[in-house]
Amino acid sequence: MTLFALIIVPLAGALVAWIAGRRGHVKPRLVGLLTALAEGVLAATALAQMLASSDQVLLASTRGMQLVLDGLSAPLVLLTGLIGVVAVIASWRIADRPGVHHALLLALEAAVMTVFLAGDLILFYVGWEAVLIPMFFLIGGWGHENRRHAALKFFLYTFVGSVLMLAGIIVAVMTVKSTLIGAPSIPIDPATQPWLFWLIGIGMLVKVPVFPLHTWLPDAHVEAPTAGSIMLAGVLLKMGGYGLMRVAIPYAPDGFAAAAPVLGALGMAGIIYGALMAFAQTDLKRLVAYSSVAHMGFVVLGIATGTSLGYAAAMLAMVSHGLVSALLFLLVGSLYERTHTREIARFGGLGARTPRWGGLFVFAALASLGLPGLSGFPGELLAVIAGFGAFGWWISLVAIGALLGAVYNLSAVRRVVHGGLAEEWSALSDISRGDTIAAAVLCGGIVVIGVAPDLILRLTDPAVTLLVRALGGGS
Amino acid sequence: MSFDQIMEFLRPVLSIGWLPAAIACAAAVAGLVADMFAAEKTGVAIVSAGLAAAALLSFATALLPMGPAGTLIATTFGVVLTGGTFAGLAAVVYFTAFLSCGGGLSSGRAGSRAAVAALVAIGAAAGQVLLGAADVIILFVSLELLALVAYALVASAGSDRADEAAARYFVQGSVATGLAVLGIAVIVGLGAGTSGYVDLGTTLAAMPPGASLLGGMLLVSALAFKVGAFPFHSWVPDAYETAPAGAAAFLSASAKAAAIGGFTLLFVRLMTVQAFASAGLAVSIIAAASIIFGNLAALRQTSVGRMLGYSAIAQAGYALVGVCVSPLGGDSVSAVFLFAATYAVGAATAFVVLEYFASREPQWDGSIAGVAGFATRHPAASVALTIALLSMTGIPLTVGFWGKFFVFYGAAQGGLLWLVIIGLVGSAISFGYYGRVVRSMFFDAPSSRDEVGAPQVGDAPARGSVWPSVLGAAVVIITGVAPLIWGLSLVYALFAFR
Repeated sequence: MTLFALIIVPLAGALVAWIAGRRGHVKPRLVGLLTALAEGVLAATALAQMLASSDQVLLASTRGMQLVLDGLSAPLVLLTGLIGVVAVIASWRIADRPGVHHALLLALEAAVMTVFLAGDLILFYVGWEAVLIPMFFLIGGWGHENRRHAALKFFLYTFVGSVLMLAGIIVAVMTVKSTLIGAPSIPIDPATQPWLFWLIGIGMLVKVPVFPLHTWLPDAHVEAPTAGSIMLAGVLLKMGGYGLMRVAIPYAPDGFAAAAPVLGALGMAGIIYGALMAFAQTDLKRLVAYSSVAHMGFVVLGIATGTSLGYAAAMLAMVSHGLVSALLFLLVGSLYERTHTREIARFGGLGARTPRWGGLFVFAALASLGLPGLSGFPGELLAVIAGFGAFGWWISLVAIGALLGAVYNLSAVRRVVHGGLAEEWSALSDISRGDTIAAAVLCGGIVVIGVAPDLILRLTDPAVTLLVRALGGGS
Repeated sequence: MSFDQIMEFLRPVLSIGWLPAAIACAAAVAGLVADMFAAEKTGVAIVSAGLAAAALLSFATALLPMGPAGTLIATTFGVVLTGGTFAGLAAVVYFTAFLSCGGGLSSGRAGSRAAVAALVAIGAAAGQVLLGAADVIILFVSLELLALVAYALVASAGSDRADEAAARYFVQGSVATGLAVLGIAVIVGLGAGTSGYVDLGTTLAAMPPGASLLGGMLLVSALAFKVGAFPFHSWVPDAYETAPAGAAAFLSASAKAAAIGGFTLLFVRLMTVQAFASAGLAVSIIAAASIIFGNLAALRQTSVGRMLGYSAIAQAGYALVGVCVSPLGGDSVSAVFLFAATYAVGAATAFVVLEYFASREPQWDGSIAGVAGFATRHPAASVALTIALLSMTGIPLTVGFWGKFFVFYGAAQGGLLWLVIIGLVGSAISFGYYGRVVRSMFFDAPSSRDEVGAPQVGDAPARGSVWPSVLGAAVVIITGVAPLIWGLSLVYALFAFR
């Protein structure tokens, strides 16, 4: 029941927020916040129920659909619940049609929950596509200067990926004769698996995004409103990694075995390319966007190893990136709200003028560069270790990426937080109280996972072991 | 009384296959009579009510549990007027026809609206006969009746452009009629006079393969013209753009769904014959060409109506994907019917919204850029149009997703994976133009030119109402979500091919 509630509650909240939005500007925010909080509590309840069950899997089904919560989806469901609250707080001061804005935000959360909870392929695809609609309207309706173009580009780009995925899903369903997600009972012909893997995987690789398919991401992130960027980077990108582990690889294990070196190479290319591009940006939000490409490269690298260590690393890196990128986008959004610019060159010395914002930004940059003790470190380290086992010395290329990660993050800190204060910001106010609270929650999560990555690892372990064991049978 | 008992009680009435058609035709006559007494609005309303009754009746018939050995099927003059599949799609034909008249046909010329509504009702009745045809002669007669209605509807706008489009449509349509007559003559003639579908299958198998293939190819050409598929598509954009939007809703939805359904039922029988295997290949090539051409051409359009016209070519391609694998089995036929139904509801809703826009915004020139800012002025209609366009794109949570999913699923089962991928990439491209309309409505500020003359209350000819748009959109969403909750058997029950 909790699982259905996870999807229905935000939908109901969306409806209420939309109706409340016609009466005034404050009510929809409250509705949004309450719904997001309720959703977070529900996610925690579902986790508790899952842990209490004997086999650590929570199931729910109707005649038309099946929902599953297990170790692979639980961390992401929790993350979605948390990021949902942050996104609502981040859009607190939106004055333009707040009812519709919050309704879209909650609908987006419901769609993402559907993807993570889906127990059958049809529902998985339905949720996957349903995510696009609220995101399209969020970018187009509340985005920045170039939003019209970015909204359509985002939709078309990811839609092309997903329709190819649909073709793959159709082939898989046709062969297996069941829509339930899981290791196929009728093995798929090894001759079709190589192209089947890429067909299903392409939709997810676009979503991740993997290096040559990432071009939609900077535009979408930069033009999206703050809440949209937070949801996009914090949660939506995780759909890609989750989909690879949950659907693409189990259905075509032989295809994955053949594609793994390519995937690994793409992951490494993403790490280096993302870091280089981030370093070259003059727009702070674009810098954060490209850092996502680099971080998600670690996720792809971890998955490409096909080992339980790699999978665990990918899960850890995804949760960590969800928290860190949400924090970064929250801070950049808060800065933009007060300065109406994101140009790095115009900032400087903000640490002195806005100490709370500056401190949080330094913290976020340190988390992003993978400082030990913060959440970025364990996941990426494990991914590299797993990658070393699978790809040998090639993995040393990642060291360049890690180094560059330190370079762009620290140089951003130096150029924005340190240095002399620019004249035009001498009257700049500090980050608002609501944003501070949201940022503090995220910081807490980052520290907890950084100090005790075991929490996530122990949660994902049973599911990951199961998935990898099925993989071992195929390859 | 339980639902089943009610249905059993109503069975004698629902089993009368010709009843919906009779109601529609009677309503058409009544509407014309009302028009004689200068009560045009009442006339349109009477016709709409008749179509609504016919749609409900057909729907109830489709829900009727079939008796053993198909006791429902009554064959009169080669027309099978009831039965699951036929009634389910017939309900959609009547429903979309009802939507197109329901708004009062406000975009049509004053004085011609009741006549247009009557034409729509008669066309819908012809559509039902077409779906129920079990004989090529009946198929041909109903198809031509539908075509005559269509010519008149295109011309009903009364402008020079409309006359030209109608004349062109008529000339091209006559050629298609000729092809169809030839094809039927070949098949029926060589088959020694048998024209019923059931007997045709056996007589065709005994024919020289070349001759039967010639007949088959001629019929394929006629089919391609009637559904507006690639090499015979040129009438579609002109007709949809120039016809009054309400009439275009009927043309693009009801008429097309009926044509797709009728031809599917013919081809599913013919293509089981070995000699027709290459006709199946021809259909698949036409399908691929329509999808590619329709989607690419629609990308370049600036007028909403014309864009929908080109997109209809692509949609016809998707339907043909289903047609060419329909001989595989009953499920594949259901898939084509489902697709035709989902497309029809989406297209009807889209055109009905255009009619509403045209009646409320006299300055609107029909262009995509011109709908800028409509979302703030007409929120309900804009949301309805968005839902309709998303449905035609095939996005989940709208019914269009199920239509496309089952058509492509059938095609993949038939080994036509290349066609599936072309079709799916085509759907992705289609958002390139559907999305532009949505973007224009919601994200663009209206140009100042529109603001100047906007309030023009007094002399607006007829103000369309928004409820048909909302009704259509609601149907799209409800039928799109319901299968997720109650299972897919629901979808199949309505369009089961038995």
